[in-house]
Amino acid sequence: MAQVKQSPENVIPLTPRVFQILLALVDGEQHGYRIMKDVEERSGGKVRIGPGTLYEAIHRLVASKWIVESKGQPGNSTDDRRRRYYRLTDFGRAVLKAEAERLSDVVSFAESKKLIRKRRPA
Amino acid sequence: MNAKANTSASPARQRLLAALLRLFYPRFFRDTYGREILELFEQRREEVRSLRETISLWCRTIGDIAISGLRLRASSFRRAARKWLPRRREEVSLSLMADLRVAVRVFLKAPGFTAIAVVTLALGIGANTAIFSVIEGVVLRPLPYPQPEELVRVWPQSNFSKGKFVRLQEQARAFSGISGYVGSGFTLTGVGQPEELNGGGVASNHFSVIGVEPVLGRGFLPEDAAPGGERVAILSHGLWQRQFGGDPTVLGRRIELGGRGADSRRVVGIMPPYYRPLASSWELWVPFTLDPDNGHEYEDNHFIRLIARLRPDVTLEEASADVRRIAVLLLKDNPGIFSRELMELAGVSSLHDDFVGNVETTLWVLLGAVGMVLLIACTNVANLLLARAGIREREIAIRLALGAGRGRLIRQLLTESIVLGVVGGLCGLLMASWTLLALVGQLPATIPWVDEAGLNFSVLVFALAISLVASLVFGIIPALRYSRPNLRSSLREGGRGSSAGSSQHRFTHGLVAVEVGLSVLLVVGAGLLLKSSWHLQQVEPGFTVEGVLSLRVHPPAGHYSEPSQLRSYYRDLIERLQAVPGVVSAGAIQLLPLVRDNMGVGYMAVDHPIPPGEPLPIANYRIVTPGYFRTMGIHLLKGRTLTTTDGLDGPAVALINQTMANSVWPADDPIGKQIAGDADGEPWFTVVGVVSDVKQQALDRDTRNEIYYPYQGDTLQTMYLTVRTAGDPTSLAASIQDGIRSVDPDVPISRIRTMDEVLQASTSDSTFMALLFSVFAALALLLGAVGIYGVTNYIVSQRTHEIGIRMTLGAAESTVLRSVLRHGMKPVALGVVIGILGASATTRVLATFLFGVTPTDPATYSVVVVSLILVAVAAAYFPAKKASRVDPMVALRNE
Repeated sequence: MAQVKQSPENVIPLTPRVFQILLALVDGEQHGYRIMKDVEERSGGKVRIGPGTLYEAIHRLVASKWIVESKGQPGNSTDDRRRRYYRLTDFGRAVLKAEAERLSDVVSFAESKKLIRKRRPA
Repeated sequence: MNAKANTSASPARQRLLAALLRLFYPRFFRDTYGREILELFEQRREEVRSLRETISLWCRTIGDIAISGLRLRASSFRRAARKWLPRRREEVSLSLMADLRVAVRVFLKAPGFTAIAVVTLALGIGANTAIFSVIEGVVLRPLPYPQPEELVRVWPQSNFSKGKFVRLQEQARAFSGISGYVGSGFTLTGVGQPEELNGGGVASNHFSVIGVEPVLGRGFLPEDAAPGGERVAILSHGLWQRQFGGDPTVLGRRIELGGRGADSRRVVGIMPPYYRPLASSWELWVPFTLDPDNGHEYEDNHFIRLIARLRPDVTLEEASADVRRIAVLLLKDNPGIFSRELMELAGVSSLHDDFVGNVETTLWVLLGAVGMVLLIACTNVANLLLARAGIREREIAIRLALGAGRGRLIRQLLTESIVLGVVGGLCGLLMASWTLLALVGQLPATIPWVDEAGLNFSVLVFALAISLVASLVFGIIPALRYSRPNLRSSLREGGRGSSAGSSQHRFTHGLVAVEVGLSVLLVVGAGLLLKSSWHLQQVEPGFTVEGVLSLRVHPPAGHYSEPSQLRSYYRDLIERLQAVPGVVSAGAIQLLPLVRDNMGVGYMAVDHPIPPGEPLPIANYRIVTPGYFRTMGIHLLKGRTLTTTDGLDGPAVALINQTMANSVWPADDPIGKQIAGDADGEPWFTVVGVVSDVKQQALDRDTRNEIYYPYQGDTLQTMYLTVRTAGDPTSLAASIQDGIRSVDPDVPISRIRTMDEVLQASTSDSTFMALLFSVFAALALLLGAVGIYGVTNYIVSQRTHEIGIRMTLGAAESTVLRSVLRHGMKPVALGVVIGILGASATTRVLATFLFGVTPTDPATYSVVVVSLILVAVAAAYFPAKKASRVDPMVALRNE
């Protein structure tokens, strides 16, 4: 895969699946099962990612250098010792930010058209 | 990915998932993420409460794996394709979707036709896929070693002494490593039941030349092979699991390989589970000692087999030249048995060819045969499609009239074929997975690594590819013909195109002829193989097969280091066995007939001296106990049989077989003649008896000269026991084994088979080939019959009108019947002629599989032709009968 210098703006919009996976990594490194559960919980059980699809996406994200497998693993919890953990790269974080901003713009537009009620001020 | 999942996963579930991963994911992905995916699934499963949720989880997971796998494959394919494919994507995909929708609608409207076509294709594609998966697993897949193409065998096979091996190693320039190995047996005692193990001595660089190192512990070191080095051993993963429960502390422990400390070794390594030894049954490796001071053992024993790894830039020819150059030097040095004839063989050959060379032909011939089945299936479907012309013609004429281009129409029709082909292919894949289960159990044991065969991505691609090719084969002709019907006549005549009749019929007839021709070819092949297999069954093995049990015993060297100990062990053993109730007699021989192993010995009749310098003739050499002949039902023809005292003191005596008696002393009485073991003429033994011939090596081989030497005079560690029983020998197997253990519980017993099983196993290759060909031929006949039936039926339906007129004009039922039959038989006759010509040209490839029958056996051909015509007549009879019952009034009113 050719790795041309890309700007985060050129790679958005993201597919919902990729967006959700990246979102699950915002708070730090996670392993596959946590990512899967996180996506599921955040969507109220509506978005479900199967294990194959999850790792296929992870494989692509790693190849695009949006995320990396992390060397050190958090905590010493014994049952997690063999799992692979992933974290966002700087570029991945920038992409995620760009996508969130894009979505936010979309939402603001919908609000200005009175399509949905205005959000509480942040 | 061999880590054991520490979750409570059931092996069946894990196996199924692993199979799914193998089927859909590329290897790199599996290796990186496979375990994670399995674990994720396990965690998911723990959340599941009800059966419904379990089923839903499985469905979702299978779908998920399939879809993500295909997406992965597709994206790498797209990356490759992007370079050279023009993009007119949208346009193409739009009309493609429309074509697909039409195709599906067409097939749903004709469920009967669709079902027959799909089943026909599924049979063809399924059979091909099954055979291909075996070829893929056995022949196409590279050897499971790193850079397998560099690995070669060095010839002459097993004719190197340790000394020659070392000198070759020192002088060869073409190799990055040369290693030797020599097989031997071990008796593992002190852990559970004593077990005879296959294994052998290897040079210390063995595993590094092959490129697979132990997964636990270490490989062999040069000092292990030095005289006085520590006695060490490496175990296979399977042996480690079986005998030591996978306990890692076995590393460093001592194991007993000869009983009573005779061969006590420290375990230094465990090979990985995926390691495939060069000799498939090996489970134990020990370093062989290289001790130049032990002159006889070092220089004169020529049993070492060599493998080598080529330097990356060296070709097979260059390496062969290198070996030949050194072989000349070795011959000058110390010839040993390194004769001039053997020198001709000096060189190297690819290890892959060496492994699969023998079975490769078999498998390709099978694929050829099964390919013909597919061709027949395609012809059938093409014919079915053509036969639907009557129904489709109007629709197509309207499309043409409305301005559809011919190219567009052909594409639509081909899309239909491809839909048929792909659906047929998917069903075929399902069929192949079932067939494989049956097939792998049936395959002869001579095919290496057959358990590797299975559905994987390459097989999936193959199935898809042949589905597409088949679609084109059966689709292109109907598509070309459909797309240019006589526009006006089709519209005007309301779709009953009697004008298209004759050329259309000629075409369908042509297809029937092809189909019949291919069927003849396959059925002739099957006939020849069946006849050959039958001939093989008729060969007299020379011994009485029924009621004999054979077992192999291997007294550990530690208990029996002296010949006298072995002598008394076997004497006691035979006596003990004869006392077992139900046992009639018992004997022993070092190599059972028909087990493919052989032992030969050079000999010279003292009264027929051989000029010095000439090589000695070789006879099979068998060591037997006196009871062997009676047990096996081998007859004494002349002189006397062996006694329990022969070979102990007094003059050496032996028996010879009839072939040897006739070939060495055609005119004289062989009794009392003397045989020398050397060209110096020093007598070795006196012939005291002649026994009847036995097929020693294989049923289809000529009997060779054979010497039976008394066991007392030449003791061996390992012997096969043969026990004749009054009733069914298997029912006595347990008490016979008890008998053996009662003499010495530390002696391992293996290879317990009746002689009938030994005989069957020796012909399993030929039986298997005949069986498989018969299945293909039956398929071909079935499909051929369906084809003939379909075509005749169709033609009859086209001619109903004409037949009605004839019958109104007074034609008798029998006349109509005959006319239709005659019409239907014309292409069959043509097909038979084509088939016979084709068969006589191609059955030569079967020559190596045939015994007692030539590839152009007239009897087989005649039987095949007659039975094929009978089948064809039967297939055409029912439509013809229907035609002769046509009610003229109905037929005419239909207009």
